[in-house]
Amino acid sequence: MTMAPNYAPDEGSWLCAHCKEPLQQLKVPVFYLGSAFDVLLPRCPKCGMTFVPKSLAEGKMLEVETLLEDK
Amino acid sequence: MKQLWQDTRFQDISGHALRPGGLALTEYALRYCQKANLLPKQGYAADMGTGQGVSLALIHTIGLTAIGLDLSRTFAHQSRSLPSQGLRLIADVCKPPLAQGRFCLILFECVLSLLEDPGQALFWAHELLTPQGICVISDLVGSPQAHASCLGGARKRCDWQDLFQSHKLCVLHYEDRSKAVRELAAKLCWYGADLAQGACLPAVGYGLWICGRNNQLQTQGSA
Repeated sequence: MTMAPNYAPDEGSWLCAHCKEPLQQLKVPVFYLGSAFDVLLPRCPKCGMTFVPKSLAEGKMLEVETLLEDK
Repeated sequence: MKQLWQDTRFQDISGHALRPGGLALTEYALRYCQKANLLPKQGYAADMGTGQGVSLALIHTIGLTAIGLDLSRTFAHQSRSLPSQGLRLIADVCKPPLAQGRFCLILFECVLSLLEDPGQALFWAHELLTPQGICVISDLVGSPQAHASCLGGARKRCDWQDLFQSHKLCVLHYEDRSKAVRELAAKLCWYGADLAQGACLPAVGYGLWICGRNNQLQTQGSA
């Protein structure tokens, strides 16, 4: 899907603690309960470690998880 | 008010299938019918409310000649850019311009809930089917939501089945596919399509029925 939402860090510039590389906004597939979602997230271009901004984790991601969970 | 399926963002998010479960659920239903020896190797199939016609190519892969019916000229135009194998007619599924008793398969995928008189479409489905013909139906299950769309046409499972049986379509198999509705609602939320009608999706479930014409033995299952 080409409409992947873009979530930048809430503040500041971030480096990968392991590789010391600046994180880049890269397309990442996110999986939850068998469903896949594309998103652009800050990611280390070298090792692939991905940073999930707090606002995303506590906002849209939580909202989607709740929708997917069998209530 | 624009209907959910008319929104281009909804079309993109649903993979142009315009319904919960998408093409994967259609493929599952067709494979189920094949494994249960409910479909012949050749014959005609009608996809009622075919939308952009994405199911037609899938029907073609199981050896059937697919004919898609939809009233929308917009979808007919859009379907030219999508892969499809089958004849597409701009026609009313409640007055299908098709030969009676010639179809081994008829699909209604999230279509009956959109119709003012779904019974009329089911009446014609019964007329179009061969004596051993199969009707694959998937639709919204639950209490109708306050929307002039498919959500307003949701019915309880027992009410759907009463409607099928009153039109001489016998339920051979049922599966609860409500997870497909939750997945679609989650994708609408994730991709930022804040569609008012989409917000009501988690309030309903989704069912898949395989129905036979007339007097085939009734057996029911669940996922």
